[in-house]
Amino acid sequence: MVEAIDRAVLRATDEARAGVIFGHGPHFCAGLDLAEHSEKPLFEAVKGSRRWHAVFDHIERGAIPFVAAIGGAAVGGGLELAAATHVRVADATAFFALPEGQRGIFVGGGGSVRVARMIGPGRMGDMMLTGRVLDAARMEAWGGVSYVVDEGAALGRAVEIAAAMATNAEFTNYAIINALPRIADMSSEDGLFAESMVASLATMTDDAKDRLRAFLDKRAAKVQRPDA
Amino acid sequence: MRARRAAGEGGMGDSEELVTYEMRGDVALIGLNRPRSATPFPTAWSRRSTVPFCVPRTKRGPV
Repeated sequence: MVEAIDRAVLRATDEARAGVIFGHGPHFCAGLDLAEHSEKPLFEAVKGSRRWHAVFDHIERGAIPFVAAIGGAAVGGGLELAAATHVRVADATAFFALPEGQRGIFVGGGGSVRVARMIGPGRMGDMMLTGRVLDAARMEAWGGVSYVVDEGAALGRAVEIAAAMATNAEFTNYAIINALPRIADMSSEDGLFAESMVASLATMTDDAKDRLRAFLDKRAAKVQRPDA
Repeated sequence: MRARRAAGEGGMGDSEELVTYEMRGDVALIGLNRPRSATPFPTAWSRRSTVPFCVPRTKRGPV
């Protein structure tokens, strides 16, 4: 199925300005089929993990932003998939776990990088060592999801968010999803330099010029208070 | 497989569940664990994926 995800993600990158990943039915994704994984030779396991990395990288560092709409289980590889998206919306049924520690295996879909950076390596280690299962509220408090909504409302909210992101300048969206994680990997000095370069490039686009002109001409919406 | 899936413990080994794809305006909707009634994406797909995903084997709630 990861190959099917990749084909869909690449198609979305070609023809959409934002994407939503969701699970049909009551669950988002519960990750790897452990029955097959246990039979996999060592090098096949390495290649499989590297393939996950490549596919999830097409989501995280592609050309358009993705929103995960999470209900039910986001477990193991399912949580790693969610962590590759840029915004995560969870409904009240969502739960999150990394049971690899209890299964005698290890995360292989980029979780040690993405989940660790999302919630912190200490909390990720807690989840793996103890088998702790988090509900949506706890995961929001830990920074793993940005929105918690009522049961069954995650997909609708995710589509709203994606539609709003789709109205952003394409280059700015590209810069947000590609520059921010790379700058986070840099030293402060290098990060600030890279930021100046990206900011200058963004300002030079026709889209930026049009949008800035619209704002100055009072044709663009102003930022409002959140309770407005 | 179908019996296991009906019991909530099925795997993705035979790729019964796949991905759906739909455009809604400028937004692409990618659905995992395709129900049998939905249209798969893409229409041509292998019977066995390289790295399968699965629906949950258990339905433990948050603790």
